[in-house]
Amino acid sequence: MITLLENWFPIMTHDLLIMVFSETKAETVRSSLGNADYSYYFILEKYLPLLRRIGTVQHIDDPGVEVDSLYAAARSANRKAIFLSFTPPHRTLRNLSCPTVCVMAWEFGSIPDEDEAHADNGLNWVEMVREIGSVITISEYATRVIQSQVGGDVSVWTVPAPVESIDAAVPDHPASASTSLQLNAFVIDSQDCEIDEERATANARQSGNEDGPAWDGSDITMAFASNGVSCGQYLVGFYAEEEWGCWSRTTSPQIVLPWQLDGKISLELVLVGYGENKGRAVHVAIGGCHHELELPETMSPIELVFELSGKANTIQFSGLRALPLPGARDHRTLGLGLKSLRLRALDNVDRAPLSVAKQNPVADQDDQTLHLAGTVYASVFNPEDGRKNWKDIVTAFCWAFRDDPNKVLLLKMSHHNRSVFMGDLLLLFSRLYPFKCRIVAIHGYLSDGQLEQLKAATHYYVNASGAEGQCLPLLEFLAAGVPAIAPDHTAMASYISKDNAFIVASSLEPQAWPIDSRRAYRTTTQRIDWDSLRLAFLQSASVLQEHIDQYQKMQLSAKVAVRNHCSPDAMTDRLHRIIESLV
Amino acid sequence: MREGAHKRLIFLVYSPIAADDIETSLGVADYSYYFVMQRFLPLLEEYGDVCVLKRAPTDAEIELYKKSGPCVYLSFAPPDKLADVSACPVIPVFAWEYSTLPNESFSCRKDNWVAALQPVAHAITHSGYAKDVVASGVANAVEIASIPAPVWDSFQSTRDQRQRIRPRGLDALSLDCTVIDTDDFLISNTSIRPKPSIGDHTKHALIGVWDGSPLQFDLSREQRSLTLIGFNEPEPWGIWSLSGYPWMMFDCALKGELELTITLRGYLQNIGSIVRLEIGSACADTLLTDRLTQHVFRFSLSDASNVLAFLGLEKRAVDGEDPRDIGLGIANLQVRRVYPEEVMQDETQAVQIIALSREDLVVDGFHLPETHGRWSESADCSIQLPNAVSGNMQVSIELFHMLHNDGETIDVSLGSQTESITLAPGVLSYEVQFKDVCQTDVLRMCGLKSGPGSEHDKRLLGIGLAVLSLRAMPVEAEPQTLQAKLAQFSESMRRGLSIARQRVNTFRKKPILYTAVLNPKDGRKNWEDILTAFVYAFRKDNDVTLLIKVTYHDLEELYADIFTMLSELHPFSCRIIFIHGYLREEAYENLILQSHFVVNASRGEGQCLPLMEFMSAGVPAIAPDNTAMAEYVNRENSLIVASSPELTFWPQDPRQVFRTLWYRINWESLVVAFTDSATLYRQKRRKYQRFSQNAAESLQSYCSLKVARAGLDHIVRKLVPDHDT
Repeated sequence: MITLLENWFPIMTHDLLIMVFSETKAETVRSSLGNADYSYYFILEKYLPLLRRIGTVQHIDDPGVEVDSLYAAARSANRKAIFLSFTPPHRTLRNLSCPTVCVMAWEFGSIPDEDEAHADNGLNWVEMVREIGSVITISEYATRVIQSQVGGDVSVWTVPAPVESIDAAVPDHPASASTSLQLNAFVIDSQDCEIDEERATANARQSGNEDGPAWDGSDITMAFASNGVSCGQYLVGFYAEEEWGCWSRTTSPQIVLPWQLDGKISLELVLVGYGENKGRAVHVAIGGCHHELELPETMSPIELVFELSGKANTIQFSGLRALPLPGARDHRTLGLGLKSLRLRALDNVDRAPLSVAKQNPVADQDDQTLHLAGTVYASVFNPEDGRKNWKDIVTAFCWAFRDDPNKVLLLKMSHHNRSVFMGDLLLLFSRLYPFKCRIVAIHGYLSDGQLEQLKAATHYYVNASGAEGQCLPLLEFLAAGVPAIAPDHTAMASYISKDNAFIVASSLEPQAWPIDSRRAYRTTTQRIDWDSLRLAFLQSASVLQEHIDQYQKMQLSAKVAVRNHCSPDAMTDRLHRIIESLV
Repeated sequence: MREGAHKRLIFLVYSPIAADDIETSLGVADYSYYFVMQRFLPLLEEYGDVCVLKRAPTDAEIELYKKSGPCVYLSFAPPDKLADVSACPVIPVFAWEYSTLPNESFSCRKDNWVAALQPVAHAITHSGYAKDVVASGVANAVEIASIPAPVWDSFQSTRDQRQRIRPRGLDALSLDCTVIDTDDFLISNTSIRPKPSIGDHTKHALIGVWDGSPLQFDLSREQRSLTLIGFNEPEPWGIWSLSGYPWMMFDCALKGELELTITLRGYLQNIGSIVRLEIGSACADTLLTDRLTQHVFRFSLSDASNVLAFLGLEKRAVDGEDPRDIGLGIANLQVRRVYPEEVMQDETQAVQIIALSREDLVVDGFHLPETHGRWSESADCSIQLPNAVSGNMQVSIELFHMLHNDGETIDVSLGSQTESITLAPGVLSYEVQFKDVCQTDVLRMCGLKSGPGSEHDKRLLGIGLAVLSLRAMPVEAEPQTLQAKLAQFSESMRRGLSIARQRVNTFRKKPILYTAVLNPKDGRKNWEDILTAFVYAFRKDNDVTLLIKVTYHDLEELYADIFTMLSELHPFSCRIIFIHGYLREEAYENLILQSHFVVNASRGEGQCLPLMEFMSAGVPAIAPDNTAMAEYVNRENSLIVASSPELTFWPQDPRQVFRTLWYRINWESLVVAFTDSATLYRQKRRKYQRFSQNAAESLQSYCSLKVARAGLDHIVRKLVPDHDT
């Protein structure tokens, strides 16, 4: 295969114009981390170096306006041109003169084929794909699914996003090694949390002043709705934000402010009670100062005045009932709904002006060092993506290593908003209590160097997804010689094997297409066999401890699997052939 | 033998749920202990006298019983409900299906089962699985026996009948209980509502026909005799529906001439749109406004119907202050009988003349009334008619003035019917005719222009509306219409017949009835997997039925879940039926006789009485072989559903901390089991019969009286060494 490739490279066709488009842009990717379509951006980013070896790449902002005029210009200059749209079929333009390829990720058992699958416009991907005519997917699984539905007239190719295997010698990975990571991120570490069966409180690690900065006394407004600049990351014990605000989920939810409050302050909460909590008297405390408030029946503002004797940064609710309403459609344990809060100083104390933290409450990620000892398991995922099934990872890890302080699970959370996992993770901590193994969540954008450190510190990468379009983090860790614990379904079926992974058993389960607003059962993903995940943890640990030769074999196999599956050279070759066949 | 040397053994037995309240207790915690106790009573009677206690005994009470003979107290309750007595041997009888026994106190001392069982010498559970869990959890020498409830023997006659007669499925069932049948509903992926009633509904025969006495409902409170589907919780003023197709069910079937008075309003997206009220085959269109208004409609129902449905609320609100999904609001409604003399009177008042200057008129888009009438302000104006109209109508519109609208064509709507008129300069009188108007109380004009009135009147003015008159038009050539209707009817009959004939002619697969008996509120039962797997297996097979007998006392609590699930599963040709309510013994036996397979997809079972009953009678199962089921579910009598351990919490632990394991079902294997079972029944007749026989045999060795007797014998001999049976 490699010899074939070398024949190819001299033929660099710079008279080929490759137009590329993705809805997420480089400038916005950091804040949209975890949003539905960000993975398309990553595919594009991974394809770019390959495409640049094949032709001249031009980024498109508005395909409807630019593509065909650039295409016309290229044609008149006797250049070939192609448009690669890194978008799902319904957002890929289908009326262009320029040859268009839809580059898409897919991980479900079928693509939408119903006209009424969406509230606004039909989402019949089968028809759309037939119109587009050419599709590149990033997994053999997706290709098979699409081919079986669209018929033979459509060209469907598989080009996984390329991942380079690191050629350096496999790092030595003794099970007992200790290492440290320099991180520029927010960290929740089970070792630093106060945990019991009732609750877990995060003592999130911040560098510098342990107490966090003091509030400067200026008015502060925080909104908790999903459709705006939300401060949902400060909520503990709440569900994810909705369009109007957040529902609490526990009996004692909290708002943990990034600053220390003091003096006489006014706190205005816009909130509503749910079910039995309507009209219920609940407690609100800041520091040692308590108030009782009656939860209103409809969303309304309530102002409370606190005279704090010391510094405090947590607004603590207590006395809520957290039970689902009998018979209600919503089975969640909803307590109160919080829309926004406002803080004002009622005294005239001179407070020192705030540093960066106040202007940009999200920027509380500071350099810090994370010391790791023992066997390190890591996983990188978007916690809001239900398919990632990360709670199984946590519970199975914890049940396998309950009494073993020498096992660490690192969860790199890829989402711009930490509130989507913080409450869930702390709740899991308290439900798993007591446990000696260590669970660390890392939230923040890691630099390439930091990611390399993370890979080097990791003994096993863990995946327990219900479905994967490709799973780049898994491939990148494998490429660095990190064996995996993973199921061998969907995209992973092409590169996960017993040689490089402890396979997690899985089987089909019913599912709705993610874009189907009706949430109708139409397709399938996979249900993980939890016990096999737990056993994989145990087996992997014993291999590392007792059969280091076998572990090293797995490390090598991991690299080989990635090289065979998606090496940049092979993928360049494949893309080149595809594009040549179309222009 | 020391004849007469000892007195008969006395069994004091107690279960927290008594016979009198078992029907209302269905599905509450521990309710199954009552049924287990019932199964043990005949066995106990073989060994001695049985006293069923109304409450847990005290030592003093036991002492009294002891005067008549040696006592043993059997507590059919979980160990945390074990009475503190020491006057006689105590035997807790309990079911358990988790991998560990609670050994912590989470709300009170008694939560700790391990501690509760320490002082006990003998205990009975119902499976080897539970026996092992108890044995490994309780350190002392509690002698734990596994004695499944002896159900096998009582199904002898059902078993014999099944040997002789094939199960016939749904056709052979008559169910006099509440039935939710997917065949009775119009299901889409966003909504579900009952089919407008067509003829008599024998299945709902239990619902009586309305006696004509006035019905009044205040929607600000829960109404016992009115079931609301697709609504939020009541509020002090009334209730908001959800969007989609909310509907209400009366507890009697309405029939004949009646008047419905309803006070309702719209919400955000629905304000200004028409909503259709439907009872059976009759309907009425009305306007949703931004405030509660009262509407009065007459319905003439030739077929009985107990459903009032609201149509036209598909749009969902966006950006509302209220986080809930809201469609329309209803404050109250009344239904009263309309008597023939009233109908006569109405006919004499066939003309309705409405002066727009009336203060009490409910209008939208108009300025305040003036001497001559009202000026329109908005492009779309509406008037609520004091009396609803229907059929062929002639509407006269009298203007007192017109501005900015010369030559404009506007839409005039009577309910859901719309006609256009062109406003001509200087013409102040217009006539519009509507045909076959569905009953309505709303007249709308859309597309009106408006502008400043004059130099002195800066208001935005359009047309000055003086008087509206609505006149019922004589229906021409009625005989012909009737004939046409007759022709239509016979045409539809013919079509129906030919469809029926087609059905007979086309190859019909053998119908199959799958039955599950479960409480959907019990998370262990996993009914969602059963429903989804059934539909995925049989989406296009209209000859299979899944019947779920719901053992939970309050069906209303389950409506939302059931209907949401059916909506999400749509479309499917297979049929799903939920039945609810007490079945007489013969009816239950008949259900067993006619079922082809019994279905279970539980995450764990202490023994599972319904599964044992069906299988004892020779019904093959689709079931997992975990926990207690491992002892009687096998490859020779069942299609096995795969499952594997999963972390969970003890069900009674409110902290929900992870302490134990149950089983996660392999859904794919459940689908496979469904499809394989159909093949088995339809194509491998003899193998199906072998499964049936094997089921009866397996259950004989699990839960026959003989097996239970051996177990109890052992205990009794230890407790009362000289006892002789």
